[in-house]
Amino acid sequence: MRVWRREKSLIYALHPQRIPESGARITYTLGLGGATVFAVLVTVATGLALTLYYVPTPGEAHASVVLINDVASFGATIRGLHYWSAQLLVITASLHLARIVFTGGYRPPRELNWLIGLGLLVTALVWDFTGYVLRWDDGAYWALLVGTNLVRDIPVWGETLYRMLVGDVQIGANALLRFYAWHAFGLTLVGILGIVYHLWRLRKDGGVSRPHLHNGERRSFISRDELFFREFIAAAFIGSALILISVFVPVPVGDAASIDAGVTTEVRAPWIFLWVQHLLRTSPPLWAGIVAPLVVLVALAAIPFLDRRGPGRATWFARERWKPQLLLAVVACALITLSIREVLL
Amino acid sequence: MTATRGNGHFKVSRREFISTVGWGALLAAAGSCAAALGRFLSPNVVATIAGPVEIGTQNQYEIGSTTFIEKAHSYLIRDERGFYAIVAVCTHLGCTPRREGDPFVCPCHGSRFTREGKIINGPAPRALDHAFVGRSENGQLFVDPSRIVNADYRLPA
Amino acid sequence: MTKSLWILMAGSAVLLATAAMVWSQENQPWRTWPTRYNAQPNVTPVPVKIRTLVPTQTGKPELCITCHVGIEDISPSHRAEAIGCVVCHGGDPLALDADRAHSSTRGKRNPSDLSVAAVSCGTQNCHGGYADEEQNHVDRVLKSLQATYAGAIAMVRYAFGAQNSPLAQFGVHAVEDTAKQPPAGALAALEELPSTAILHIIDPEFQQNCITGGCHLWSLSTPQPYYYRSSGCAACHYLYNDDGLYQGNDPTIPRDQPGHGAQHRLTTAIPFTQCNHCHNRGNYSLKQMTFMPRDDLPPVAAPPSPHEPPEVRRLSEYYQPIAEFAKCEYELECVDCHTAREVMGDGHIYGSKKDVQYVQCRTCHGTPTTSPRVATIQDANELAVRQARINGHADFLATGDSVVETDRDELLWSVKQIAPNRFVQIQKVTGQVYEVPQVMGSKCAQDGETQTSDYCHQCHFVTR
Repeated sequence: MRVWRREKSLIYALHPQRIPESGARITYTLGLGGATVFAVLVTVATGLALTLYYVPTPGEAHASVVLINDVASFGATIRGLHYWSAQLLVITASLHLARIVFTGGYRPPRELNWLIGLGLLVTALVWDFTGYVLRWDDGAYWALLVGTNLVRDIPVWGETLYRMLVGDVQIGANALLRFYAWHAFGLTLVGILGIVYHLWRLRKDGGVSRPHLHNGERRSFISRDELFFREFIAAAFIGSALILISVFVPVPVGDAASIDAGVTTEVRAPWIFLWVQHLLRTSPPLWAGIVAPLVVLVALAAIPFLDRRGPGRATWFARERWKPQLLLAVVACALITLSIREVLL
Repeated sequence: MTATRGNGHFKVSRREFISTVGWGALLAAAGSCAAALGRFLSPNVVATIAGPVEIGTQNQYEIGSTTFIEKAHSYLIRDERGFYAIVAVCTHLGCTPRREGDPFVCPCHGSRFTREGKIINGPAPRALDHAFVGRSENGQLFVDPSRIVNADYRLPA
Repeated sequence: MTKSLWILMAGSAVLLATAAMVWSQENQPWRTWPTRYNAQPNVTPVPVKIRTLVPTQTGKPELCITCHVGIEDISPSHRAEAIGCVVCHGGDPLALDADRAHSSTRGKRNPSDLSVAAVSCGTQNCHGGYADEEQNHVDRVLKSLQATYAGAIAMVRYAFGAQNSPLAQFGVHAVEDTAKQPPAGALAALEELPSTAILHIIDPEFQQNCITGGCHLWSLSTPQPYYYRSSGCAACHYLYNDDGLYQGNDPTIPRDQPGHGAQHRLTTAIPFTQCNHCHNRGNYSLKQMTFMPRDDLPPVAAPPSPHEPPEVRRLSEYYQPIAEFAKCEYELECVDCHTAREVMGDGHIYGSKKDVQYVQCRTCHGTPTTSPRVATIQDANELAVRQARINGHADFLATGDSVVETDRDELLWSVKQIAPNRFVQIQKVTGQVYEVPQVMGSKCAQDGETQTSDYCHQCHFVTR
């Protein structure tokens, strides 16, 4: 009697039986989606390990981070892995979005999946931000202060939204607890379910988009064993790189949070929101902090509807799809430029 | 794996050898990571109280009195012979016995102990521990629950 | 590339990364210290792992002793297992990175530095916050002459015409006496000496030459042999060798780097060498606004030979060459006569040494017509008995004993009466007991009422 059968395994069920070879090439997809999934798995796993030590109260949060970083065996590595894989996941998700735009992977029938993916990117950014706050050091405290005060500026519902987010009329113990609950549990649920939905939708839509066949060309396929092997090797390399980065580039532990800290230290937003910080220097908070990000989001969401038909399918940088590619390029340049300018200030 | 026999040696192809070494490396790394995770889960700092707890001067405690000392999690008892302390941890599964009249009674499974911690009945396997009671150089009494003494020990008043 | 080669490369990468991870864990910087401790001669080796101290007062774990392995317990009154390290020093109790652990320590290495002493030492139930000023040691020291330097400041400014009376107005830092009625001779407040010429041209130079790094409790010492000391409470209570080298077992304190106390210990048994880190070091020149070190010891001359017997060596290291003193003044320690109230103040602000230093020869020796004033110990918890115990001589006093009482009602626990007109004194550092010769019944022809200690010296002095 065989207890485990390969052909009935979970890995098999998760992969289609045959995958068109042209869509599975790493030179085409760059493996970014897969890298993102792997990064999420590493982040969630290390995050679970961290919850065994982290204490989400203002009095103990920073001390528990110090405990993890200095005292727990391999604590610094696990914390580093958590941080670096989280940053990696934001980067690969963004690059994956770019790849989709530049190869037209948003084309029908994949518009819904594009929106799901965008939602996942937003989830990743909120995940990153809430995690940053949990450090409860100076930078975290100020980021929380600014971020939540921005919410207050929303007309009509601002104050209500603020209270729902913060759990009080000002940031403190309740805010930390809620951010912890969202970061460790709420967003994890959203993220995991979102990934499952994204991948299921992908299969429903016919898999990874791929170029038309040339005249006389016959479509070739790879088996799911082969695909899984490629995923496994990629995971091993990415995992090794993450571990090495965690060992040699330690994640900072700031001083414990205090509202007086800004008097002597520089206050800098987490890198994902540097561009917002820069805008906030010159524009009113509602425009810089709420409207601008929303505009970017809506612009990106509109991409599938900017270019719905025509040739230029599934090849990099097809000229027919110039509109969304230009839009993405402009948005990306703007965000990167603003971020760099903020850093150089 | 298609190792073949020839001339009394196992013949392994280069491909298989490389593959085996690679898998071996992966397995070793995975094992180390599991061990590392195990060490991570094992706490390096545990918060047990180091030592003695000062409890005031002897005049605060009358002969025949039983006082629960929270910080030492022990009962300080003064009898005619002097002071002794009973560690308030039931030897069955660790609940805190309470004083009901003369004996100590454990609320969890009903073990009963005498004033000196000897078992009367119940599932507890042995008598309650006695903690060391001493007098510091400034005349203060202290209880040290990390030092267990035998049941005859008394600090003379 | 073949599949097997991919597997080999992936496996090697993961193995390499894991090895790096394990290596970084086994080579954490804090491990240096227990390893170095074990390498010292004559120590019992300790396992190289994280060591936790959970003080009974706080219940919160502290990891300081992981690196500071073998550091001496600061004193029997401040046992580490009772109060821990962080309550005095501050710092991060859970950090094992040196910078992180020490970034929030109070007063850097010295939590008793006067800038932080109120928080480190003078908290409620420690050395502050009491109704009885006697127990508010930090407050007393902050107002004392050794901290305010008020007398020297007043005399210098008076000499230069910066003020038209020798009454003290300024101190190193501003202090205020909030008592309703300071005693006669005490001041209500002192202002901080300005460091600019806003009041008089002499102030900035005086500040720079004599106050900054000068001889008062706010300043740090000159880094030279015989001068090494700490500041604040530790200036007296934390003993330094004359060469300023650490002799204890903590591996984090370099034993070849001068500027560290002899051991991590506070004591009340303060030998004359400690006082001599400021006192008896030389003289001031008002004209040059500078300090002139004495010419028989470093830095001007060589130190006495280590082969000299201790008594001879002591004589040359004690008072400087111009001084005249009686034998008891170089056999006893400074603290045997200069009481806590003299040295640490009584909580009021005084402007001159003559208002503070009041113990005279006759306090213990009496006069031709009177015996020293005595008071009887009534209670085993009296201050005098507690002081005897803290000084390590708990057996010296018992309830019912009579001890000398000074003119200002201070009980000298170390001088007790054993018979009518017979007194003994226990030396506070060595514990040697001396009989105190009494003037009454001797050939002394002094007028006890008008003639002070200077007059005793005329006959009883010793010079080198």
